[in-house]
Amino acid sequence: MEKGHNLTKILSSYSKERLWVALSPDKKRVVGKGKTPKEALDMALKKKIKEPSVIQAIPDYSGAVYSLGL
Amino acid sequence: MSMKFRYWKLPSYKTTIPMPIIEVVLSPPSGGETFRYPCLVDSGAEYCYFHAKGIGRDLLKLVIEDGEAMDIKGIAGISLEGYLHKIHYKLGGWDFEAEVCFVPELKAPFGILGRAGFFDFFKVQFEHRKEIIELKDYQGKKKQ
Repeated sequence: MEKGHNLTKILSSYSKERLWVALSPDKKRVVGKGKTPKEALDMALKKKIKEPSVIQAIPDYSGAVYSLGL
Repeated sequence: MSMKFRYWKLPSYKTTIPMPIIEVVLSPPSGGETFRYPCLVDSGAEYCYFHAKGIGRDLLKLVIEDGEAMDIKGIAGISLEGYLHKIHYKLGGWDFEAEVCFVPELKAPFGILGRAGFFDFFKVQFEHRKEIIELKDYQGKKKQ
């Protein structure tokens, strides 16, 4: 089974500014950040991180119907 | 083949919320760095929706407006524009070519895996209490 990941703590420093972050393959470290996915990814790739994961940090992921563009 | 995925836990006003997130692995068709893109599994979405500028243009190097233009209608009747592109993505041990809608104004903090381009390929079972999603492929069987 693929592991789940708890990102609650590691995203908190970036959520106020709603930054995009790049995560290490084990999702335990933020290895890049920026205002766009590219900025975050480029920072991670400079650190030679393989296949970083890019996600936007926001304070609250609940309550939205994401597929509807809200 | 089948594969199980545990929900991810993300920040919420209640401290944390478990969500059915699965990562897809993407690479620019013209060559370049491979990266992972977490996506919400959402049967309410007709298509897979990805960020047009941040993911499609900047990382996959697509010319977004070259795709087939479409309107995406939301619950409040608000319409967003999107552009369909055929792309390759990997997920678990699978590799697919799928039509994905790239949305310039997508407000979600991750991608969306919807019916066309994702549920087309898998039997999807949610065990919400256990916070597990199971994907089973159709073993090459064509859609009826």
